[in-house]
Amino acid sequence: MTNDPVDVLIIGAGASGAAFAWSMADTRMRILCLEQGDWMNPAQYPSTGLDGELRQLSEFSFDPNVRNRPADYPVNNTESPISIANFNAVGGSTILYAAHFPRFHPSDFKVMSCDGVADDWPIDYQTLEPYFALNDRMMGISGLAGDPAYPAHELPLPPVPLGASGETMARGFNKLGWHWWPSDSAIITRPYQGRDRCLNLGPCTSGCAQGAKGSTDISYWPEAIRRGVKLRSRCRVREVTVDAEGLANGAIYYDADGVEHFQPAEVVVLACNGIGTPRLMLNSKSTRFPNGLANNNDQVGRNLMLHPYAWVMGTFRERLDGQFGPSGCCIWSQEFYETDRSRGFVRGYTMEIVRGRGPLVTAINGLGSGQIPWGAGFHQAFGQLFAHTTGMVVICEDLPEPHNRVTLDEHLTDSNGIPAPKINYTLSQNSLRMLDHAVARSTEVLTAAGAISMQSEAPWKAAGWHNMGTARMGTDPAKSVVNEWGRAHEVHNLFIIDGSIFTTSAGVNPTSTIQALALYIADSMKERLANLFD
Amino acid sequence: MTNSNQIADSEKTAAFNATQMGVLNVLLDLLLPASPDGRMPAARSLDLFADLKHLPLKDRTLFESGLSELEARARQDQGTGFAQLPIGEAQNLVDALRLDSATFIKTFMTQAVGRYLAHEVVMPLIGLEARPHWPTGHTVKDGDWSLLNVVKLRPKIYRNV
Repeated sequence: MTNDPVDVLIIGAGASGAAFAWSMADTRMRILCLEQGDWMNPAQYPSTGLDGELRQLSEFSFDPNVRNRPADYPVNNTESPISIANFNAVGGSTILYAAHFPRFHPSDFKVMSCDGVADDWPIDYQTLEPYFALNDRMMGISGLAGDPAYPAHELPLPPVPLGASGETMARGFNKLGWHWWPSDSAIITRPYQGRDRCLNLGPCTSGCAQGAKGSTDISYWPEAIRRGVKLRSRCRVREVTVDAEGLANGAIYYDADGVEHFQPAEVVVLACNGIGTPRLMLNSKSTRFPNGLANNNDQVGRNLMLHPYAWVMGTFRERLDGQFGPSGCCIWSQEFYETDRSRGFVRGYTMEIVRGRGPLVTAINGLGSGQIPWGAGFHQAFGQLFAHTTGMVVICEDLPEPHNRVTLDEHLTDSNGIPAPKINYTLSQNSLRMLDHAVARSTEVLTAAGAISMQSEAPWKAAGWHNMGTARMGTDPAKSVVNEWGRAHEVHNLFIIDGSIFTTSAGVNPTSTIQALALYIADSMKERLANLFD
Repeated sequence: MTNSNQIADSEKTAAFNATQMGVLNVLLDLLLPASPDGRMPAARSLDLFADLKHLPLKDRTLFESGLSELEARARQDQGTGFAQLPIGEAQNLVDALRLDSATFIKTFMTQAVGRYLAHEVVMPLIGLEARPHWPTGHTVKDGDWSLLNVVKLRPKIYRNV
């Protein structure tokens, strides 16, 4: 079945696709977005029921292999110490993200120049600065101006509360003289643009029933649709097609009933994240591109960066409040962010205080670690842990390495028979040294804050939320996939706007920078409409 | 509009059969008996698995095979049903199964503890109100922002490029 042609076809309705669609609506072109997932119904999110934590670990798990919803595709993680995390719906992974919203720093765009490793981006912080600010307003970002770890920037909303957990950790950081600051968070702390404020529902990572978290199904999409963009959910794209000239001319997709469609388009924009985008490109083989779309230079899927995480939690004698509040967002420390070679590694990391855990996760972690026994001793041991823990996740910068890559699995497919992605990933010596340093410093600050015992996991296996670098941006067509404004070197009407195009990964959550890039690429295209394909 | 987050409703199933429930109740006694002071109830008394909503189908299959395996091992090794074993013997069989079928034991722990701690009788006993987080939410104190004063005095720590 062939559909009516469109001017711009966006594939993926997550963080980047939504921001891009909203911006491109200015052009009044025919814009269509295809999304393999569905619209979510916040009234059915886990926080609306007593069984919310159980649902968070099954149908709302951030591991697609556990969740196994109809919209999901499997991922082969067997050759990686970190498992891929994502969500497939209108809003993409912003449905489940913690909403931490740090920007990249100026030095994050110039890694080779600053530290002699990896590569410089072909753009810089100043290029994206106005798009960071625009995106902060669209998503509704809370925080506090004046962070000495960043160039000056204002946030539209005041910060999330410190709570007992934040206060406790802030005292620890102050005792050591280390940096900390309230996190920039995509969480509404005051009524804002028709959305009501955060009610401290607990874990933000299973969807926000209140609508206070800035997921793109409630931030960008309603406005983009009002401005004329069309969005079709439950449409899974199998491949992007090309014409005899090697230009993209549309995409073949399956609808919810499994019916195959061809969607013709003048411009194709990929917004499927750092795993889905290379998967789609590698599945789009043709005579012109026998190794996959825009992949005659064998760069698609390479240089996968995953942000090695450390998870470090402390137990305190006093009762804390970490089971409430926006669990993923509180305060951060960038004391060890910029390179100091005396530490034994280059680049650095962010410590993000994650308050505490709900009762089930507390119990499961305790049973797994031996802190909680089976039997009559369960209750006392549980009581000593629940509401008595707080701690942090540490996000380490991952450097690009060509052998870390996404390929296609030879046997595994999704429900439409489309080959699934396979991850081949190893941690570098630099990452391992950084993780060791991060766990030691985290233990130090937890001790300073008064923790009586600590637990850690590094690398944290489940933490493959940030998938970057697999179709990277650069000026050299032999070593990159897209140019400095997101256009594929090998296919001049193909654009990529998600985390795939990151040249380096920084040591912070990427969503703010992904969306700023998408807005910047949209403006770059609008400025060049007359000669977009030259 | 169809929503894929309605998936759980399609996975509602009936409870386990009587033999399976007998094995399950012993497992619950081993994991979550009443507290010695009697303040916390035994999991068995709360009928946690009467409704299998939100037990994904693959987990239900895992439960059924795991419970059946325990029953079969009890009959083979001890010549009686698992539910009739002395508690020490039952624990030994569970420990053995933990080595052979770690996934079942892990899934059992998650489901049993999750249902127990979210039970309306138990929640107040661990310091929580017996209600969902939404729509009422919770109060989290804003905190002492004067703690930030010392950080505000620091010079910038990011690099110019």
